[in-house]
Amino acid sequence: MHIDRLTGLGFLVFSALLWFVVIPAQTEGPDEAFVPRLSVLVIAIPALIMLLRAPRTNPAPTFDPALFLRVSVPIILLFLVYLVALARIGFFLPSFVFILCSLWLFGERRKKIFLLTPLITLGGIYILIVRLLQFELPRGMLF
Amino acid sequence: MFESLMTALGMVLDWQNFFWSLFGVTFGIIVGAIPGLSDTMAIVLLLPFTYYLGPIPSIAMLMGLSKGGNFGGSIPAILFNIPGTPQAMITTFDGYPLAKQGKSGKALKTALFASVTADTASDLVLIFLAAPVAMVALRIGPPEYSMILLFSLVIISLAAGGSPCRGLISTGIGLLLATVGCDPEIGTPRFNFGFIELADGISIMPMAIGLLAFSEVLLQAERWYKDRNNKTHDEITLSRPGTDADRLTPAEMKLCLPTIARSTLIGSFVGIVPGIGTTVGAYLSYIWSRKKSPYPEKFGNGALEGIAASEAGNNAVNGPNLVPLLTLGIPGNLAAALILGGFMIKGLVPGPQFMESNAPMLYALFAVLLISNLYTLVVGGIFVHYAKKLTRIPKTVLFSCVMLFSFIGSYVNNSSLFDVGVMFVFGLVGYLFAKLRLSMPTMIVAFFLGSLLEHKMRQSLLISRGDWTIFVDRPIALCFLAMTVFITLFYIVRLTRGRKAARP
Repeated sequence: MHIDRLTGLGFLVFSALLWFVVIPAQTEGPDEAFVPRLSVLVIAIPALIMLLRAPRTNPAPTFDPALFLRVSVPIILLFLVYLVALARIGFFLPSFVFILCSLWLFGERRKKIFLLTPLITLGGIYILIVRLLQFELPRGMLF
Repeated sequence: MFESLMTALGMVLDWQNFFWSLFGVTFGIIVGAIPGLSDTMAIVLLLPFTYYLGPIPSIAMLMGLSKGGNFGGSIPAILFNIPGTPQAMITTFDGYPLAKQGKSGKALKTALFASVTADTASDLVLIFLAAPVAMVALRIGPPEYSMILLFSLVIISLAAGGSPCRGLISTGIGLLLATVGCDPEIGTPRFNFGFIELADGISIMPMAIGLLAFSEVLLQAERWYKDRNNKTHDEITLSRPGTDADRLTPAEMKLCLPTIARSTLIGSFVGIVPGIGTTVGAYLSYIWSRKKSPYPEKFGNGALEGIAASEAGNNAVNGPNLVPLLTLGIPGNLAAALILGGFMIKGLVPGPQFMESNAPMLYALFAVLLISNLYTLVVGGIFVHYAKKLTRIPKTVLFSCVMLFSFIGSYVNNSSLFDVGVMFVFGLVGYLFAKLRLSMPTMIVAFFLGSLLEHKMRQSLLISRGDWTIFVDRPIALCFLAMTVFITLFYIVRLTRGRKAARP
């Protein structure tokens, strides 16, 4: 299926879901629902055009599943783990580990970079944000 | 007037304005010079920290980031044929060929000279246009305002890169996101899905950071990983300091001036119309300069006027772009939308009343714009010599740091991990948007305009007691409605003709 048709179909389903399920459940009257319904129409009409009038040639694909699994998924998972760790342990230790892990995931292998990046980044954050701007970063068991 | 000017002078002569403007310009140049990071990313990453600054220093920093980033983008465009920012793409046409001839210093200095001259001239356009436009804006009511907003939304949707259908879908999503929170008239909750944190709507800061910084890291990392073994550019030899190849002579400056003047005119005109953007300004200026040049064959082979046209064209958009923002509260492009976010953080609402009630602050802002230009000239002049080093910061380090700052930027907002979650979700939305070729800038601008449009439309219908003819009864409203319909029909006809012509 042409990517434009697929995108159009996806947004049409999304619009129908909004129109028939989400908007009635999340608004309390026709006045409140007016602009949301108008917005849904702004999505649905071009989506319908895309579904019906897709060009014959398919453009170059923008999504590479292998690349997504190799690069983006590990980063997304790492960030999720980092968020959970922040809430429990505090800012600095998880951030130190996060920087090291993300550098490694991005393909960095130089020892100097592994040593300097967390030290300079977290040192800078401590001086600028914690000391100078007096901003409190998440606290946990350790800090 | 005199009293306001004196108050403004007092506001401007605060060391904080000078310091934060300098910081903004410097950071903007650094970020702009790094391929993949843009001026808007610089603004979005530092926007949360404006909480700690006064209104003028905040805006001074944001404007400095925008101006510095705009120039910074030309550095890798000239040295490596890689535009640091999208608008610097046109600069590669002549900047890189000139750098390959061993004249990198001359190319960079031409870019700096053209950027600062056009930016200053465009700021003067803003200063002289803002008052008359604001006077007209003061006389318009909710129906006229609604139609102006509708017109802007249509222009922004249709002018979005790619297909108009994708632009409209992006606009629809932006409008829909703007309805999250509370109904503006009745105050009942709407689309908050049981989250009390969404009662005031989606916070712009985590949303913008997610869309513009977090998602960009994912996209850039994929691209970088794919191309990591490919050599993307030829090494060029930097011009030796003090030589002719490193200098921009007075004769060359004189040669570039007519091009800069022409490009400033084009860029200023493009800047006033919402949604068209800096890249179009640069492109139109380049095309026109080539057409007017006595030796068009030099364009594309290292013509100084080519660099001047592109840089002047994209920088001249900056000042006039603030005219609709300051006088009507309508951001013309993404950078203006983020600057509007900066105003809102400080409790300032740009619009027709802004000039009347905050005249000294506005004059102070004008002064700050001019100060930022001066800083761009000085800091840019220094950075020209260290440009190559800037572009060599390892991508791996950049990606890690941007992710960490995405967390801090969204957390600073309310000291809430919920906001970090919002940033994360919008990071994934931004990634999906890019993969589906939807327009993120269009969505963000529509998000800003959405709540204003709803508020003004509902006000209009309250005035008319539900009678929709209020939008055609008033001449200004009718005029904007007619323009909206005309432009939409024009696009439909053009699309249909294009499709017919493409058929075998």
